[in-house]
Amino acid sequence: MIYILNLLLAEIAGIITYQHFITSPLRYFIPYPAELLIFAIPLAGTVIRKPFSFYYYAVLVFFNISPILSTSETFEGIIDSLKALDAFGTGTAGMAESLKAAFIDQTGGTEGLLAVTWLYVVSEIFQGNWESIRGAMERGVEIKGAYFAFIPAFFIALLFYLLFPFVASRFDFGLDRVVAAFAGIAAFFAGVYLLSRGVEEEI
Amino acid sequence: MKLRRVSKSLIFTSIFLAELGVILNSVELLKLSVLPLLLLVFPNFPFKAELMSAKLEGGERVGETLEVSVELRVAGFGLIKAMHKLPDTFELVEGSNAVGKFIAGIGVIRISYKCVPLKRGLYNLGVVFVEAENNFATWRARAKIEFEAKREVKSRVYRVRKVEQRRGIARKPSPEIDLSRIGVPGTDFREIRKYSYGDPVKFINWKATAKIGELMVNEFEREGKKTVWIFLDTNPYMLHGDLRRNCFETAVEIAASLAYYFAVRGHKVGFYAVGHELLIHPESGRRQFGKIYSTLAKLDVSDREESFLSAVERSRKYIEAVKPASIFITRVELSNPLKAVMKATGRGNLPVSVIAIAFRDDSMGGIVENAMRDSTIRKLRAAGVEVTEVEAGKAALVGMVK
Repeated sequence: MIYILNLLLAEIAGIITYQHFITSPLRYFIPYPAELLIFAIPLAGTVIRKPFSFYYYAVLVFFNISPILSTSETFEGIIDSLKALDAFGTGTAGMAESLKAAFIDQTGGTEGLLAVTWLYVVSEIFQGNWESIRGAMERGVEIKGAYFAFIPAFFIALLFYLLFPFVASRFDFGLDRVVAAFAGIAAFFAGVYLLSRGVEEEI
Repeated sequence: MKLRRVSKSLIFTSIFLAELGVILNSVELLKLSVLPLLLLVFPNFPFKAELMSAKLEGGERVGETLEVSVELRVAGFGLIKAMHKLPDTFELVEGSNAVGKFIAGIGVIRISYKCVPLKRGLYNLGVVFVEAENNFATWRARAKIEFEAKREVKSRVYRVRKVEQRRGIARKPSPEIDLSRIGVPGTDFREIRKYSYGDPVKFINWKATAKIGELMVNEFEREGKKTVWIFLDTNPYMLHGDLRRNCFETAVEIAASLAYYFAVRGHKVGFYAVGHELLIHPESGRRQFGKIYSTLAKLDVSDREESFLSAVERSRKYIEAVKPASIFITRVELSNPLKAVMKATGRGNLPVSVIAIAFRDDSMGGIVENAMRDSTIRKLRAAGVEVTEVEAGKAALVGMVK
């Protein structure tokens, strides 16, 4: 059951991503029918491990990231670098110009990215709930109405999804590059510390 | 504290978005990285659990079914699990001691099951653990409910109907009809013998004294029955087998059954736990049985070894005083009690019997043990000792009791 539910979430995320993709400049760089792989990956994932894996989520983020690139100084830096390399006769100036033309003037929000992230997080929560229930049942715990646990999880997460844009829009801040670098390093080490602690065994 | 799998996944997603936001210098991605963290820190709904009723019936002896019924009133929201804590030595036979229920508001969780205690001892059965999981399966809140439910599980005491016996100079530990050398002299005349220091003056036979020329006394049959002394082996090697087939538990059951059999029939019963150096002086009656039985209920294998020879030496002054029939309960292949048996038999040719606990398995070690046991039993029998073999876990006293 959990596989079907997660497959459904993955395919919804795939549809959202596809709709975003066909209006994004990425479509110039990825030829048809390569984008259809977006729908095929969850099916393959169902057979291998789970439909909505982190790797699939990373692919979806890649397909949804184009609106961010238009305002990204890093992306501008890449374009400038390609232009600078042209001085050595690499012929990358043309590529830089085409990337700039495709991405820099693109308009659009990050709704797709938010939706995909939310769907991935919800699928992980469902998976966690299901593993907890299954683990308990395997150890002999008789659980009544176990699957009702998914309903409040979904609706509370939905509430977060609906409120998040309003709350996030209230906090607007500029990101200094030095601060960003320190934040990135700090996040990395914090993540390494937290993730190195291992996963709790179900009891 | 370890992370739950969902928590790990949410942290990983958040870090992925944050790092991507830093690399691309994007505030939107940094903001988005907060979403998984918000779900991660979403707290548990507060929950409260209290005991409504708890009923425990039966299970007072090893192997007797214990019926448990516990009801909890729980207030909360989400999946709530409750587990009545059972000691490791209890085996579930019906139902489950752990129950879960999705509760929205107030609900009742009922735990109802049957189990069987497999080992004697004093157990606290008054603990229930309650666990509430938050809706995102990221956190757990736990509570412990305690109530008064201490239970002493006692050994099985087999109803021994008869122990094979033969009247005469007791060479067997079957002294039901043998007569004691100590005790109050009765009225039945036995013999005339020479006076010895301490004999009452009223027993002096003046006619025989005058005829023979030295003090002679009348000897009467003494009231009371022969004393039985049980030597129970509690050395570490007795802890062999699992909960169902265990040498030590079988030995304890045999000791309890024999103590009951002899004590209620008027024999004085003494007890020695070999390994613990624990001695109970010989007395008769149900009270003595209760004393031995409560000792057995708390008894476990010792930390260090004591030989049977040392145990007999320690009990020597009592053996000489009461001239008991001794019963050794042990794994003969490991204790090799031949010397101790000879010592207990003594010059008075006191009866000694050995109950050999056997643990049979087909492994290489088991085959070797079987051979060693058979060899030791042959030696004991050759020395005139009665040996009864009892298999661990099987109904005790088979072969000894008719």
